[in-house]
Amino acid sequence: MTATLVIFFSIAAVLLLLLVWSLRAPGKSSGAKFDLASLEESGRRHATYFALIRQASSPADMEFLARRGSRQIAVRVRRERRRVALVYLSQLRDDFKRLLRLARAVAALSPAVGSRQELERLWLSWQFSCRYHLIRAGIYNGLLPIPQLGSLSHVVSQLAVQMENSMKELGERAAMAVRMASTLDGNGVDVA
Amino acid sequence: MATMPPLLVLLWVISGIVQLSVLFLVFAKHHFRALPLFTIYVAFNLCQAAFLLFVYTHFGFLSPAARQMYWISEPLALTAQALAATELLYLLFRHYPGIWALTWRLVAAASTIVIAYAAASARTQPTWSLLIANRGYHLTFAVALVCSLLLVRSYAIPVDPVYKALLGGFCVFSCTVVAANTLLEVLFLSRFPKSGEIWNYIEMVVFIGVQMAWAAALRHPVAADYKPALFPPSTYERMSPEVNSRLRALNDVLSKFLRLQVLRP
Repeated sequence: MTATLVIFFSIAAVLLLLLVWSLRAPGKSSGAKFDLASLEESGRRHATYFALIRQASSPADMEFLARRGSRQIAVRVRRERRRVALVYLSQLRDDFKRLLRLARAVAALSPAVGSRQELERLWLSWQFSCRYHLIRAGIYNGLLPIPQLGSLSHVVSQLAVQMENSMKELGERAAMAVRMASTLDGNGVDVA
Repeated sequence: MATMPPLLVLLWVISGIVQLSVLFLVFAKHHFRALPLFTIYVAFNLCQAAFLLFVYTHFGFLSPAARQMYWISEPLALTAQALAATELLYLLFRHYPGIWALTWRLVAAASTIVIAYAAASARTQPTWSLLIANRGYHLTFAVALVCSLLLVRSYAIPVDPVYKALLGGFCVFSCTVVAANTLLEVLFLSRFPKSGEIWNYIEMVVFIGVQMAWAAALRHPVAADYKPALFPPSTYERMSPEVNSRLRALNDVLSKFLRLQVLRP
């Protein structure tokens, strides 16, 4: 009997927490209109900075410092490298979030959406979030070494170019679709 | 009414006054035009209260006849509640047909699971079947509402504060009923004195709180309707798979990042 009480009280509490979270205004999104400005953003994707990050984490520098420099400098450099890796990670997450926002805006403004596509996106978001937090916690606490980014160079530089082009293309296409729909509908959409 | 505890009578009076205020505001602020089913729900609640007052006066608060009448009137109130909440959800999603269809699928799937569980547990305890069925209804209702609101947040669909208050109130009350019904069952079986009264107090206090929040929200008008321009259907068909493939690629970067770190000596 006590188990029943605990189970149902927990379910009610979880539902109330989810209710509060879902009704809480997420920044400006509770406003009356969609912010479609981000669809047209064509700024550099963070994945394109991979070459610089790789250079910044070159193991040769560390070996040189360990040989010639003081211990203090080596510690400071290691700390700085960790910071750079963390910043890079969070920028990758920003890229991911921007893509998600784009996908959600397109889904919300489409007359029909596919459950499979939306579920896949949910699954990908969950996966990304888990991996991101795992890597971040590992690097932050020094449990995981700063990765040999060089090994990833090929994958990421390829992706960076694709991302750069496709994000720009997708954003332009979405913005064009907004403009077309606005013209057909005679109803302005706020893209400011 | 002689057998009804004085505190409960007081709560009934307060509840009646607050419900009348809500009904008054619905008409005075012209919400009834946009929310006809919600108006019927509020009016029905008042009618149910009047009907039960009559029943309790004639048959006694704790009489089997009063209990029977209560359970006869309850499904009608629950139907009115479901219709009112559906109306509110429709108002949120009506300009977003794609997400509305997605919401229906999600709500149907979630409801089927909860209803199947409620039906199975009601069958195992026939003496408590009405209470368990009632709890199952409110659980289904709350799960469906929360699922819909999660989609609203996820797709950044704008929600007027008035609708937020109304939907939030429905969900809070349903969660309370789930907890209160479970508590009543546990307290009754452990022979706790006045378990029925405790159940009544909890539900009445929360119900009054919800009605007060509704009254506060309904003082304000609903903001002018915003109708977004929709994309042609081909936009989603072309863009969604592309975006997903980019998301997969970013995920792969993290996956490789992680694998390299784990494999390093």
